[in-house]
Amino acid sequence: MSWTNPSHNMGFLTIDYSGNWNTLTAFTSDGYDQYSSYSASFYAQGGCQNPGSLGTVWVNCHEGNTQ
Amino acid sequence: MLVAAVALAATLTLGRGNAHAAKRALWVWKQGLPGQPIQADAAMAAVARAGGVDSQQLREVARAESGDRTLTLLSGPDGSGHACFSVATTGFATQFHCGWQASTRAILARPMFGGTDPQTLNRGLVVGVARGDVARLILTRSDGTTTDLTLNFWNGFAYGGSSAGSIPVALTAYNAAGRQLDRMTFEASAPCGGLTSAC
Repeated sequence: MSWTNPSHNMGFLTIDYSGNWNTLTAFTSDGYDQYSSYSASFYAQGGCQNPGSLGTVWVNCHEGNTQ
Repeated sequence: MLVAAVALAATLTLGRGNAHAAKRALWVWKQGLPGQPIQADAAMAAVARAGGVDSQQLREVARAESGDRTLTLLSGPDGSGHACFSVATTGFATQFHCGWQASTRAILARPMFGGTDPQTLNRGLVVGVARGDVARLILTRSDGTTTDLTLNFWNGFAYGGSSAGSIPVALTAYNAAGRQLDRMTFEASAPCGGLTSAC
């Protein structure tokens, strides 16, 4: 299976302290090595959301915490 | 403003072998980097450093709003001064992408989806920038309705939707003659349910 647009797009998922969630999309064209940074002052949790129905993560997902 | 007219004429006169180079020329801004200078927050500065972009020279190309949420398209220079792009929201930024001009796409766009609880998708924003030959850009919402997006001085664009029916699902770009240049589709679902499994 190949990584295709848009069904396999990776989402950087954050959840804030009120339970609101946001997903910023990383596209296949952006490459397989993805980096994002978020502040723990605003977000309680963050991580990568695997594309729907896929059991395998298709990108290297790096998260940074700026505090 | 993008250098459109001269480069577009070049596109028409060059052979197929040079067409790709001509399209790359349509991504050149007279002012150098596109956008208004902004002060980078910690998340923006972190992704700039990670991507080899000067965090002191970040610019805002377009900004979308939905309620109290914003989504910003950032530009910044790589080591050679070429424009790299990132998207950011409050306290959260994704990596800068450089060398995107090599793409044959006519639009560069990144969406952000969100909701008030893990089962609900009721917020969708998108920001981007269009190549110099794009004359019209139409956004399609999840309820099937469409709207024309305005291109700003740098050919940036933005859209914010704050209901389940106003989530952006597609962008279609046309040139001045009405020919479709590009179409980008988006898929989104809440973290629990939809494309993903139940939580």
